[in-house]
Amino acid sequence: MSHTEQYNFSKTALRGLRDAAFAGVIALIVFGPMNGLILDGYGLDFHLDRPFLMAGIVALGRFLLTLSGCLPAVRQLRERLMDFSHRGVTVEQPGDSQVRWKVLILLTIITGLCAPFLVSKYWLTILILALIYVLLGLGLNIVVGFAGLLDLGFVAFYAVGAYVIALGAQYWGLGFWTAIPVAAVLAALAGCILAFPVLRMHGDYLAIVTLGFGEIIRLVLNNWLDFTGGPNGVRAPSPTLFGLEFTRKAKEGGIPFHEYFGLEYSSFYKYLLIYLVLFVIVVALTLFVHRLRNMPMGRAWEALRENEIACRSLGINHVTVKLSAFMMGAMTAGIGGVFFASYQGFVNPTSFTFFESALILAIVVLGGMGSIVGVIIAAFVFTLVPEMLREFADYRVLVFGVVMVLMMIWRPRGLLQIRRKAFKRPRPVYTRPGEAQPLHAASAGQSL
Amino acid sequence: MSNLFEVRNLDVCYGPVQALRDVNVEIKKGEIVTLIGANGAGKSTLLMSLFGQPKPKNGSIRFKGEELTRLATHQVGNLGIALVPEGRRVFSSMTIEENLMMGGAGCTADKDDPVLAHVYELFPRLKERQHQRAGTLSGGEQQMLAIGRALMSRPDLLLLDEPSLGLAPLVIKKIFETLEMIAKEGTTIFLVEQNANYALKFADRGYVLVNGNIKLTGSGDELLADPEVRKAYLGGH
Repeated sequence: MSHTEQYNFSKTALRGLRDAAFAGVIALIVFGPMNGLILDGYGLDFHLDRPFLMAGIVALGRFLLTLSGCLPAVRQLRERLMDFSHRGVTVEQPGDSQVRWKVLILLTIITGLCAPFLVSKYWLTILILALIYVLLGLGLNIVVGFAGLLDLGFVAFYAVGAYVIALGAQYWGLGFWTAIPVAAVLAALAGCILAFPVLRMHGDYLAIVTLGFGEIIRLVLNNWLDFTGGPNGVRAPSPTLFGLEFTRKAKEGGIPFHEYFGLEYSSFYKYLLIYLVLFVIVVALTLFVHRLRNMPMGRAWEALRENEIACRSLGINHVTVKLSAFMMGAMTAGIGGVFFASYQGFVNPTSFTFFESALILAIVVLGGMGSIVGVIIAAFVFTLVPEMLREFADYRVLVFGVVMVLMMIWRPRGLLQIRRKAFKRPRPVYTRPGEAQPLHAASAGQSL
Repeated sequence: MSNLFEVRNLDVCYGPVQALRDVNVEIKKGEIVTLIGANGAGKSTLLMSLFGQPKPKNGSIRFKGEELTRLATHQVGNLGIALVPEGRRVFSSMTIEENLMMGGAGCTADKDDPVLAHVYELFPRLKERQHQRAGTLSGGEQQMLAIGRALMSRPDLLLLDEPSLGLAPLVIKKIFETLEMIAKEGTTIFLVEQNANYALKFADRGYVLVNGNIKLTGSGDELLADPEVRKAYLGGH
């Protein structure tokens, strides 16, 4: 043992004794009333030996802990726990956390696929509604979150989708499966028609025009009695599975689903099918939208939102870029509308009021504009929580408002902020006593 | 040799106010040309009118023989002209790499694009920070990024609007050094600057814009020596 080590050891031992005495006193203060005073009938018994025993154990433990710092193995362990290699700020590489995300996504998909078999029919219908809002949220997220175009009439495209399946079934015998692509195309077309005149506008003006458009669609649906049935609404068909119907009795010549498989009739199967198809579409769309962010089109949307002048000087046609965002969003809402109509079995214009637009916008804003995961979480919160709090149904809108205000104060950029990596969070830096902390950060480098 | 770029008798108005009067500029291939002038002389207006913002009232702007005044803004950007806008205007929430990719023609560049590698070679600092958000860069780095972004479309003509704006003298020097390298590679440069001293030393030829009109033209050295220019822009020494 060299001289310095011996010195270190005796110094540590001394420090250990001091620490031990300190810990012992504190333990005595804590344990004194707890163990030393025993209530006995109406009087108190003093057992001072017990707190002194406890304090002795604590002091011994503290002393040994300090002494263990002299052992190289303990020192190594301590250093590994407080990693020294991450001093300062570094830039996170893309893909740093990809594996974790993949596992998370896989788990979510498995949970999502198993969920309908574990819950009651009532909760299944709520889940469907939640997924529809996820779809709407993702759609509006493209328009508002990515492209930065404030759209207050988003519900119009939702209505287009819902009425395509309802009216299509009534007039042209359109089924559920054909209605999905048809509604997507028609809603996108509606988006295109709206977008052309409004693309010249920015911010507030755009919001007002889209608000008007949403109301126009609703009023047309409400007042065109001969075609849409007005406030009486239209019946929407249920989905079929390879021609098998989900009704109790099939129409002429058909076989209902439950008879074909020899099951007892339950409308559960219909909702199960809607849920599963919707889930697959939501997952596919989520992945697609996620990819889109790294594709030229998605990048162009974001760039246009950030700086239109720079974008145009780079040779990007702002009209087509905005148009594509509008159409993509409208298409998603159209698909959502088909599922909504089919799940309700009936549509009328009261489902497509401005409140609905505001709700979808709230999902996007509270979820974090542009953040896919945030929007999905917000959509679930906004549909599931009101169901859980049925007793407080009267105060729902009030709570909604309060939540909005509080969120805007504390998390103005939404639940999950969308952000690219700027810096990796630095690990806590542990400084050994007597060692000066180096001031330079690892990768900040010399300044310009 | 014919001109790569020429402006003939250009008049530009903002409503009733005439911003440019009978402006003539010509640039030959491979030249470095600068346009200097005081605040409000119309320098930026001239650059923006190339892109049809605002549309010129009279006159013509030709690039490689093609008339630009008839084209939409984004079409000009696809002809081989790239603009480094005033105030840099990088996409601050996107990463540096994404910013650069936006500059590739039709924003179709990918990570293996040789131009991207070349831009990183010109500005090693950008490569160092390729996955960092552009908004977190310093002013000088943002200017480098804006220039790099413009270079991504392999422009024949690079337009720079006040690249020295708000930068430290050391950074300005570095940026001008890089611009010289870019010019040596054969890119024609049209530089609009208030910093007349740097601009005239750097450029082959210069134009002096006063109140929307070209007052003087000559080689960089001639203009630097011109007593009027010295008095107006160089503090009179």
